[in-house]
Amino acid sequence: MERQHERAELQDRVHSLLALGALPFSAILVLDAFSAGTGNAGVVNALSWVAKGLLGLVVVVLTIYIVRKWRAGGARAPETESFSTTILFKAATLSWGATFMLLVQFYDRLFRGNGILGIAGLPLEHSGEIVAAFMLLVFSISYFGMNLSLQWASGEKVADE
Amino acid sequence: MNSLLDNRIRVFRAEHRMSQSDLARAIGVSRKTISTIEVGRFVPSSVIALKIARYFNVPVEDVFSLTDQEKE
Repeated sequence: MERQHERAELQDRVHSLLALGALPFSAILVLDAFSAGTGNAGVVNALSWVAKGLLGLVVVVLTIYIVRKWRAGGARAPETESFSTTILFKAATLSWGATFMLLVQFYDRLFRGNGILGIAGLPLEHSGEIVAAFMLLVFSISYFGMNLSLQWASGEKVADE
Repeated sequence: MNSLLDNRIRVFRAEHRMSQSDLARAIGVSRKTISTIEVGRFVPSSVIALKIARYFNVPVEDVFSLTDQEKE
């Protein structure tokens, strides 16, 4: 049980890092699209390198946790047997749903003429990056939002006692 | 009518002088999973519910119960 517990703890951290990594990844996609669209290399490129650095850091830590989890072995619990897995799936569903709604509901405004933020003026590849960045951003915010809402729920203390 | 899953994990933990981490370690889940079940934010699978009850050596109904809540 000890090893299974260690594995479950590592799984929680892996999920949090996945959600955290979505933020710099989202920033990289947006910055890449806008640097291509505006041709303004200076500040945008610098920010892009900062985001790449953060993403690199997350990937390194994530790899360490995954290797530790793999080494912890133990009986594999069913995937739904943890709170973090449940909210990770919920966040993923929410981000897919929100992106679908955005595309369906605001299709005209996004892609007619130059579209919002000039998205339609960008090459197709970069328009796709903006949409993917939106999805990643919603995924990350909703994951950490659900985590935070837990702490605020009924003013109950979640910390260990 | 909504049904809420109530639980007495905190009471049993207190009786056994255990922390959430101790219980998590004993049944092989993460501490956050225990804390979220305890405050009613996460409905555990039947496997986890049975593991908790088995650990405290009581029927599962002693740990978990359904309470009906009228819709407003």
